[in-house]
Amino acid sequence: MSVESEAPSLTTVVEGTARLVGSACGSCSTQTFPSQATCPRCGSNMAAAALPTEGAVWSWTVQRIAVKAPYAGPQPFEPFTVGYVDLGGVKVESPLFGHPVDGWRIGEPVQLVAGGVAGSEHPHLPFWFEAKEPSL
Amino acid sequence: MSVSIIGVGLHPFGRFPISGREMGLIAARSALADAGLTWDDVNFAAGGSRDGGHADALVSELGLTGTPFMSVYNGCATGGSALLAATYAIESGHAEVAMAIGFDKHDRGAFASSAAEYGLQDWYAEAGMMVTTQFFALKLQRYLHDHNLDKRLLSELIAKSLRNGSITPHAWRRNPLSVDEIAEGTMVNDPLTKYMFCSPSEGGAAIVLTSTEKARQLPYPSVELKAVEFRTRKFGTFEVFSPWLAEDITKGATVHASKAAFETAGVGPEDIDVAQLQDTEAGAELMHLAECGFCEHGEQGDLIMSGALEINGRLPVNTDGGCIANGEPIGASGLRQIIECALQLQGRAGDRQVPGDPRTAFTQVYGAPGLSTCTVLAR
Repeated sequence: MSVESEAPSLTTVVEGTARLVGSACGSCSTQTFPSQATCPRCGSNMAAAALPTEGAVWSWTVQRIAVKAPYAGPQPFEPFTVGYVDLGGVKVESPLFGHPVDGWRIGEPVQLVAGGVAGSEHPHLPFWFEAKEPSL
Repeated sequence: MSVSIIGVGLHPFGRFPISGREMGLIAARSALADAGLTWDDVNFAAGGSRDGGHADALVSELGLTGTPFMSVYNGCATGGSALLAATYAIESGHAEVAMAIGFDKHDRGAFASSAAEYGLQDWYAEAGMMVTTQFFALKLQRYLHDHNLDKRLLSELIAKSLRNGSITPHAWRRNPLSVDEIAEGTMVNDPLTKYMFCSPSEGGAAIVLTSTEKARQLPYPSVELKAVEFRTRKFGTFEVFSPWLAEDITKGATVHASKAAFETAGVGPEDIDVAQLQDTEAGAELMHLAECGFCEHGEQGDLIMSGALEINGRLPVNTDGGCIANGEPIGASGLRQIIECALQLQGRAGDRQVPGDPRTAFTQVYGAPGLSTCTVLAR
């Protein structure tokens, strides 16, 4: 997998499944997202690594106030949930969908959805995570 | 450490029809007058401003004496850096009298940040995640969860800051609000309502320093800087504009800076009579109380609900209303904290004077992307 240093790919497809592309350090096992060339902890070279597609919500909030440009989401503005998803080894910040915007709880399981495809539900997003279970 | 504060000057914080640098000048001249000195006496100065112009250009008005003037910038911690530079100048023997100056004048609304300046790609901002208030909320939401803290405490802290601001002449927000009004304010980023954030504002602050030995010869009480410690983040901290976080979240820069400040000063959190903590939003003060060692994580409720943090409490915090009541002119904000502590230690804080003859004070600033300066002051 080749990764450009200027604008690393955020997603890739492995055996038909979309994955986020992070990086892993061969020396200290640190993982990052997006991928980067050298490790922020020990300075060693990092290799691109496809991240798990499922994780747990580690924290979340609601963006209720309109976001300024270059935000490329719906106009007029629609509030959305944003959180960190713990993928084991790294936590990735992402918009969250599938519940009412304030219907989330820490620890609940979520599933990656890759954007950037024709007919995407959220055309301004390269990826997001969806709830795996109904809202409480 | 043998540096003392011999003069302080403040231009009120808020919104004013004059430029940022004019506010810096007013503060600088006020500090010099407070010290009984003139600009000709100053051998070194350091100053900072984000949006108010180049700090070192103040020499055009202060006087073209050839004095070295270093412009510094470290986000919300800029005042701490100016103070550190001025302190180093005295300690090293390069200056007999040094000044730290800060001023600013920001546009209304949250600070705009570009993705490229933070080494991020455009997608991050286009997705709507380049928003500082989101970061505050995400960090706080997890903190409340980890330590089983009631979000009501956030409203209690804001109510205290606004009460203190209401009796502080230089403060911007002078109207107290009830805990219910704060809790029921428009939600911005859950769990933070619109009343729980400080706003960018305007103002100026300046401090005159000399060696403690010289300060003790003066006919009025000076305030000794027992410690000034500056730290940047280590790997694994939770900072603004992070597309990812490490598997293990580690202690932030404030923990390391405050620990170093207490060690240098030879005192502990239990010795502090009055403190000013960075309160960019309600969660910041909540977390910084524990990060600075004033209580264990999760035990903030006892401090807050017992009244310990009030002006007449055991550990008065943000006695002038902090950033919540003063807003945040980035260049001046950290120096305002130092000035408030100096006034409290000298018994010059007026209606908000901490009773009981306070002798030891503490300040903490925290800025993006993960740095902190902490000080200990004593009379």
